[in-house]
Amino acid sequence: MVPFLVAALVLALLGGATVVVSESPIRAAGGLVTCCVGVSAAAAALSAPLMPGIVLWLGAGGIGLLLLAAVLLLNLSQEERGRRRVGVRGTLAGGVALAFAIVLLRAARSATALPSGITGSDVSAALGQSVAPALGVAVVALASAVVVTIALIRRRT
Amino acid sequence: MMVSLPFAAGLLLFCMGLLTAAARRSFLVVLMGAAVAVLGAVLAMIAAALRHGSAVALASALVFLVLATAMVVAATATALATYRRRGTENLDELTELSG
Repeated sequence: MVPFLVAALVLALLGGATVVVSESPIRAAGGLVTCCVGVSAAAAALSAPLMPGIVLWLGAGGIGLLLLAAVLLLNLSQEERGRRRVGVRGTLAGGVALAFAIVLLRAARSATALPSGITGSDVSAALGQSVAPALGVAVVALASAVVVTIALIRRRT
Repeated sequence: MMVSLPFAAGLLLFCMGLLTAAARRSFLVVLMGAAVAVLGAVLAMIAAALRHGSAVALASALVFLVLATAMVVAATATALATYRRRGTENLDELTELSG
């Protein structure tokens, strides 16, 4: 399982790097979908119940394909014009992120065993009891966002 | 099985998303960066939830993902409406509210 986990994480990081580096918005959207698939595969390798399918469904389907369709609709296949907005702050943020990642990856060497025991029924029970109000709010927000999206797109101004 | 490695990868993804949002000028690409940051946060939350054996934390990650999807959907609609109204989605040219 560990090689599968490492491969999934590499896939996710490659997708994220594609979003950061790629000039073409279409390639960036493809990188986002790749990142979603990698995160979903990592969740599957970690034996997280319910999460792989939902990450793939919402992440790749709800977010990735939506943004890809938006990019294709706006015909943004050309590269962005002009220089990037990477100034001193962007370089500084990148350096801090790199240092942070190095520290974290060094810390990851001391790997610990995964305490398993969470099952799908546990997560379902938590969804139905502990986080039920939050889940209701989230679903209402998602439905509202879809309605607002349709209204904004169909609006004639 | 390693848990801290997915946690580190999630935080690295989160940093990549923040860097994309800070560096790019296209509205939709900034949204893609935000989505990558959300995915990194979800991965870190999954790893932390499995490490501590908390089903509630895992369910909270799911709720967070649904809310983030709603945010991205609404922001994409805003980007499309802005493009229809202004003819551009370049953030450097959208200065109506700059005062």
